[in-house]
Amino acid sequence: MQLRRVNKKIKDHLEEIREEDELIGKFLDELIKRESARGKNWHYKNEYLKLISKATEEWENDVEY
Amino acid sequence: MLSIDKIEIKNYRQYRDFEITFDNNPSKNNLHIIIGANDTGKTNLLNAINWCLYEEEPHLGKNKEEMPILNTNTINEKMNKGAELEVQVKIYARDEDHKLKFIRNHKYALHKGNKNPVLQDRDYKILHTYPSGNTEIYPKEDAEEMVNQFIPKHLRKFFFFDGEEIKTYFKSELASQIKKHVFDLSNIDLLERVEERLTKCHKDIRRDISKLNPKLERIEKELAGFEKKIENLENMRDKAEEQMEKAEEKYEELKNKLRGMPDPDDIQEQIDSLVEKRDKRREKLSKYIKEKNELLLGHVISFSVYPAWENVLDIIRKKRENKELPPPYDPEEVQKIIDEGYCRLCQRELDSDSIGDVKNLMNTLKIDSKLNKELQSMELPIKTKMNTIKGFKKKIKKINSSINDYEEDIEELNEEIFKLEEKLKGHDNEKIAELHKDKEEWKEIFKDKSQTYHDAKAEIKVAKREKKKREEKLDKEREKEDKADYLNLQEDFTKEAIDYVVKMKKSIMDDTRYQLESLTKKYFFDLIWKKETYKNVKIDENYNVDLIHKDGYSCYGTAGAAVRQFFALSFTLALHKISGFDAQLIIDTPVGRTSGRHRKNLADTMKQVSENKQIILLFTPDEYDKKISKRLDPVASNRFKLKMIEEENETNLEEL
Repeated sequence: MQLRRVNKKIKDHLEEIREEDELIGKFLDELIKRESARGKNWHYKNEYLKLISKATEEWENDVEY
Repeated sequence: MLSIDKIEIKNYRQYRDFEITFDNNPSKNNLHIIIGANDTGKTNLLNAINWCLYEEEPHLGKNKEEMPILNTNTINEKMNKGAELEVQVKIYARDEDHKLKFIRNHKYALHKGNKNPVLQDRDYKILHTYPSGNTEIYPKEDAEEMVNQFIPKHLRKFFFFDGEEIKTYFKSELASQIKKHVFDLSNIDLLERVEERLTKCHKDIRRDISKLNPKLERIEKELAGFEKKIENLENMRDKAEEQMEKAEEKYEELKNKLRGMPDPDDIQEQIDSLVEKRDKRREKLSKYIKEKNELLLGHVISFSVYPAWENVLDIIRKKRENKELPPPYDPEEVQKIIDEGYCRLCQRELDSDSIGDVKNLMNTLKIDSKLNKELQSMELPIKTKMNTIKGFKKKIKKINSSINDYEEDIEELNEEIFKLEEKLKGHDNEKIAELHKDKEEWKEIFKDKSQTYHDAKAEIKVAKREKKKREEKLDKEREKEDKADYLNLQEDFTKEAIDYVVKMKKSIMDDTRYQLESLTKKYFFDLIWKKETYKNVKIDENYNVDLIHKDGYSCYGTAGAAVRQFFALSFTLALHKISGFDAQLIIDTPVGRTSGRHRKNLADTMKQVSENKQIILLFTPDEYDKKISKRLDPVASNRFKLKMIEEENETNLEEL
């Protein structure tokens, strides 16, 4: 019961972040989803770096635009 | 929400065959009242629940710790037969549509003529019946693990509330435990993981950037060195903290396991010390017996002639009294008188008759004077010998008294040794000694890790200061650097994402804490009577809880017992709401330390809270006065009375 409520809290926060910075909000949403689904022990680094690289490209384009 | 349907107890302390069902009457509140005079088993009902869930009895009085957990009547009945006996507590509970059965058993063997039951086997399991009707069984370790999902052991004080033990609430250790559990429950650990992993990626990117500038690279290396150092120290600190917690837990677990069992090493040590004492006493006793014998032997002749000595002295005394002892005279002088026929004393001539008389007298005196001399020469040595015998009496009396004292001492010591040896019988002493050894080892580990933890904390502080200096240098160098735009952009992006995660984490943490604080405050001000005395309730970042006086100072430590009880209760109710472990609340002696308006307020609060959660209250008859019963009777689903059958020393239940 509490878990669902706090998850909602995280979701609410992510929503707020998206409103401020869509790309970072989307990026963090993705990271949290993966963390939540995969537990504590997984080879996160490559996936993280790929997501950072992809998000930064979009971010760069966004800033330039 | 977790609630208890039924508790079944067999052979646990004064509960021999006991069952209590908490039926929730739909037209009333989920409130259950148990009334029992002191020593009828209220607190042991709380212990039975704790024992079933965690194999611990935290509310056991010190004098009861030594008593076996097994019902004494059962022991006495079966003692002469020898039997296998079982202690069992079953708790039937439900969490919404899930049904749970917690079952803990201890099997004991009872050997003929020995009152000490020997633990043979322990078992614990949880049966979880899903809404679909399927049942899963969690045995032993799984069950021990699973019970924490329903009521975490560390937070149990906030589910089984002992009104008499409020002093132990809000200790700093407990604060850190509450913080940890609330964080886990609030998914803050998930955000911590994202933050930590993003930070590592950020570091990798920074390293890539620094490779483009040697100066940057050098500072970066130094920075990385400090970061690595901090990471290692933090790991060391966290590991030490974990080990401290584990050591503490293990220590408590072993302490609990050993409750009621003797410490064979300790007892053996006591026996050895008593045996040493006894042997010393025996040595002394032998010395006195020898001394006595020598004394008796030395006086045996004196004793045999003592009556004769008394006789001689008596003769001398009588003769002296009757003036029968002849005077001393000079035989030469008398012979001269006879030879000269002239008496120098009366200065006259002596005739032949007088000379004859003097001659006769001299012959008589010759004999009597010799006897007199002999008698007189005997008198002094006899008296001296007899005085020695008088001294003997005094001496022998003293020796006998010492012998008696030592014999009594030895007898007492033998009894003590026997009692201790009896204590050791009927237990697996090797195993118990091993457990004691383990317990002490865990205590040492705790001390050791505590030292490591504090050292690491101090070193982290220093390393962080150094790291900050390098970061400032690095920023200055970076400003000059206009290359690696893309990497810099990645670095900026990652940094910003980390900032968002940190903010989000802090916000949720603060929010949770704030909710806990405001709810505690709400409940507290509902409960207390003199509301104007207090201004606020504070829960700091480390989950240390405090009460603020109207004049602004913290006053939890100096508040009265009733206020502290209400404060702890308010925090408990708030924690139930916020933690997600919204389970039943069992309170022993809820108004024991309160009176007047406080009692009314507490009854009203319980009435209100029991509309939404299960509340089980254990009152003494004095506590459950008219003010309380007037408020609670109409809404309580059940009212029970615990009765002690005096001659059987056993608790029974009566529904009111």
